[in-house]
Parts: sequence; C-alpha cells; structure tokens
Amino acid sequence: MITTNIKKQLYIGLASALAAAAAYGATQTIARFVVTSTAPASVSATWTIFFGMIFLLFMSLNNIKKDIKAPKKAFFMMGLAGIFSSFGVFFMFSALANAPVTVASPIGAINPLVAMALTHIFLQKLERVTINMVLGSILVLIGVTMVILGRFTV
Amino acid sequence: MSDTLLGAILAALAATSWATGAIFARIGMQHMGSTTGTFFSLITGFLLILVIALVLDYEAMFNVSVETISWFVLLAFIQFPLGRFLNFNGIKYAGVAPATAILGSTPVFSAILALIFLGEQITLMIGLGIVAVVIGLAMVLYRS
Repeated sequence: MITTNIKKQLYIGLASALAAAAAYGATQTIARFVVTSTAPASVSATWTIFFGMIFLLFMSLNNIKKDIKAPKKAFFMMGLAGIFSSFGVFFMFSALANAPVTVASPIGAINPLVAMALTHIFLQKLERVTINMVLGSILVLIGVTMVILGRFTV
Repeated sequence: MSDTLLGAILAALAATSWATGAIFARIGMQHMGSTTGTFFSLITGFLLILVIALVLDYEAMFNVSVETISWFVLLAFIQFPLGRFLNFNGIKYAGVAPATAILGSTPVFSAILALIFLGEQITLMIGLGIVAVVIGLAMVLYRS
C-alpha cells in the first residue's frame, strides 16, 4: 500500500515536471513577443509575477491555514527559492543581451547537472542521484544544444 | 573581457541560480504544500524584481495599456500556476534530480510549438536533437 502511494506520488511528480517543461516552452514564445513589442523585460517580469501571485493566492487558499503552521525555516527556504529563481531569470536575460542565444541557452541548460551535483552534496538524506540520471541529463543537454543550434544558426 | 565570454559567465550563473533555487524549494516543501510554497516563493521573487524594475524602468512600470496587461495575465497564468507550480510539484514528489532533468528539455517543447504554430522547418539537426532528448529523458525516468 505504501509502495503504491510512493509510486503514485512519483508518477504525479514526473508528469508535473513534464507539464511544467511544456508550459515553460510555451511561455518562451509568448514572453519573447511581449518583451520585444509591448514592455521592457523588467516591467513585464514584475507585472507577470504580480498576476502570478494572485493566481497562486487563490490556488493555495484551502491549504494556507494548514501550511501557515509550518516551521519558519520552511518559509525562509521557499523565500530563498524564489529569490534564486528570479536571479536565474535576470542572469539569463542579461546573458542573452551580451551573447548569442547559441552560446547562452546551451550553457543555461546545464542547470540539471548543477542541480544533481548540489543534490548529491546537500540532499543525500532526501534523495539519491543515479548514474542513469547523470548520463540521461548529459544526453538531454546534448539534444537541447543541437535543437538550439538547429534553430538559431543558418 | 569579450561580450560573448561575459554572456557565457552570466548564463552559467543563471544555471547555478536555478539549481540552487530547486534545492531550497525541495527542503522548504518538506513541511508545506507546493501551492503555498510556490506562493511564498513568488512573494520574495516579486519584491526583488519590483526593485529592479523601479530602478531601471520607473516610468514604463505604470505606463502600460489594457491590452498589454491582458498579455501579462495570460503569461502569468501559463508561467506560474502551470509552469512554476508544476515544477515545484515535480521537485516535491519526484525529487530535484529527475524534475530538473525533465525541465531541461524546455527548449525542445519551445521548438515543437514553433514547428506547429510558427511554421518553422524541422532540420536534421533539430530532429536528431529531439531524439537525443527523448532517449535522455527515458534514461532519467528509468527506475527513478
């Protein structure tokens, strides 16, 4: 029973990550249009995050009473997660302003390998990084680089 | 330092920032749900970006049309309740390593959408790249 629940949670997690990748893929196209034709990047990012907060506030209304009792450390960690995610976007926009997309995007795509290294160092008690995951991520990185080079070089 | 080298360093910093954010999110969501966790991560992210926007583009911040606002709402809906919430859900339930590896395939989804909606041509390089990503993801997911 416990194994079935863990498997179910794992499938939900994997499906969520796949759907997130598709959603981020869609936003890249829309964001490029918005940033290049309607408003500067910082303005677009601010308003977009503002409306995102409103959406998430409504989504979390049912859970917030229970989650508000979480340890302060959890809120601190989620706050740091938000700051680092925002810095990631800011650094990537700055990278694209200085270097061609064929250089910046593949380097940005090493994110999973960095995450696996950090997981191995700091989260050994929570999860395990397998050789399959590392090799698979290297293959994803190679594939993504080929797609980017195929799209943005003549 | 050349612009390209500076851009490469900034891109590496972006990758490190996203990976570090995922680690913090994994630790934080041990004690709370992913919807509330995503909401609190957005508050700090919003404050940071707001300061940058007010410094860089103060006038443009409050000079946006209704049409532009509607684009922001659409973008926000896809980016946060779908993108970041599902990303954090993936980190919480599947773990940092598999979730970030799957998320690394985002440019492929972008390319597929461009092929479907923008009529971009699929070249041999793009085709082989997509095949490599699919095999790579299968390896990550196998016994994960």
